Amino acid sequence: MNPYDASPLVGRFAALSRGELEALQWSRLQRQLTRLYADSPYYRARMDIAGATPDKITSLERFRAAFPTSSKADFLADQTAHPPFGHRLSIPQDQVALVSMTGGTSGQGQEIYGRSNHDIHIQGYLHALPWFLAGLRPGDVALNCVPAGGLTTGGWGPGEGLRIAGATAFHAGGSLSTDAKIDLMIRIGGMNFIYASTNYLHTLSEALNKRGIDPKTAFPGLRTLFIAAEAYPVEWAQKIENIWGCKLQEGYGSTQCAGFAGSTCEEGTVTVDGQRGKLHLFEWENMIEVVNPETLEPVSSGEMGEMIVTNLSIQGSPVVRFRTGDAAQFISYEDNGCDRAWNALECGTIKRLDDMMKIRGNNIWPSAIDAAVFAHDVVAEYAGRVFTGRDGKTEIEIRLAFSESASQLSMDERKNVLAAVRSSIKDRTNVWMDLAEVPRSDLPEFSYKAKRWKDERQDGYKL
Amino acid sequence: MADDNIGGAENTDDLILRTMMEQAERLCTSGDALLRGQYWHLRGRIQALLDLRCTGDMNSTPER
Repeated sequence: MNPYDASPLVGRFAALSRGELEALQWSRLQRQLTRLYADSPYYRARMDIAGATPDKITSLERFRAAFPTSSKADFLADQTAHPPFGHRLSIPQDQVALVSMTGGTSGQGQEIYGRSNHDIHIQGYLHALPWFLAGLRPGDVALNCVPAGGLTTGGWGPGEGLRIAGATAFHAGGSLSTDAKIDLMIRIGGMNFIYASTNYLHTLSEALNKRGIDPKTAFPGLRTLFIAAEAYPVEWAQKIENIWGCKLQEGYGSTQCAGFAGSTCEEGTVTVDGQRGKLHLFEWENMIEVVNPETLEPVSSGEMGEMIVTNLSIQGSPVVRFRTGDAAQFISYEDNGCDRAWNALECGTIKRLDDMMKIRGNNIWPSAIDAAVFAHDVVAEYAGRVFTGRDGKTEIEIRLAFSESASQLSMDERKNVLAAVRSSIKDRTNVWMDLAEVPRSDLPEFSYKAKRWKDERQDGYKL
Repeated sequence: MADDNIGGAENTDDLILRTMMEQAERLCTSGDALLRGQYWHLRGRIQALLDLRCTGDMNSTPER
């Protein structure tokens, strides 16, 4: 049964006109701003300085034009001045029931979030909702491959989401090796749903192939593979669906969104005619603006921009017009290809703005190279390094490992693949990069987000 | 009772949750320090359900 019939509540959100959806957003936003003006010295100060107090924010348009954005640096400064949560906490500290922190991969520091009991449920809901849309139903058996627990939203949200979705969940991420996970999957047998990072689904598929296990026959009850966190090429998504014999679905989420902000619909990550699918946004929970990062003006449908997030329901450490640093292609609700009035993002292409590497005058994102490399299905993994050569020139080295399925290839065929990958990278980045084949064991496995690139250019200038 | 939530049944679910919310608020005044946190948890769950079920009129959701 489709999700709109299986849940009349979801059906009602799907049936909202754009006007009704924006009226709901506006109503929730007014409630949030009024509360924050009263309870958050951080937001009250920003509103006062900008002249954007709740009485002066008279519409969604006025909010987007007048309310100041916040950045990670603003939150870190607030936390330093008022430890541990900062003045943006906006609930009494004794009502904090879950503490989340961002991963710290930016090197700038970790944002801290104090969530109320209400927020814990909303966080679970913002995992359960996209999974429900993707086919998860009460009583289903699910495998969660994302490391559980710890201090991240990604560690606690999925457990809560699967619990309130009514699923029987095995939280195997982080605690079992890939081989042990496969053993567990075989013991479970009738599995219906798998949640993993994009990269880890790749690793898992590769490991199954190495053990000679055909997922289609080993897990016939599997209905949904759900990925998050990383970009991927269309060819990879098609190949994954073919290997597993079920639909690949995707969600976009973050700690700041308190879960998923949107997810794919029935068409999945790739349409039948090979186009990228769409991530439809749950705009009644999080308002997502997609803007030009320099002017902060909204981009047009079809254009890439930075996402700015506002939580409409979250009580503890809510974000209001937070600059995520994530870039996505915006798709207006008018172009989303379905009856729902929800804005959308393009699948498989969300990237970090700050991941960009400037190489020989070209702006290059690791996601573009991922797309070029993994479009070749015989590639298992790669690692890249940018460094300064002896002559002071920027050099790029890619070490690449073939998958088990390439074991039948001759030396010449392997060379041809390397040449094709090199050419694909040049097409997407305008830069020729040196490639070398290495054994799979020389490259790391990633249980969550992959980190494939090292930029060592500064080291080359050390005296 | 907790069926498709359209029309009359919609109001029935909300009514039940509102009643539960009032009762949870009363439980939260408990003098039992072991139970108090659990009652806060229960109240937060009910509050979230009222919030996430709202598809229109925000006046139907409780003040915090």
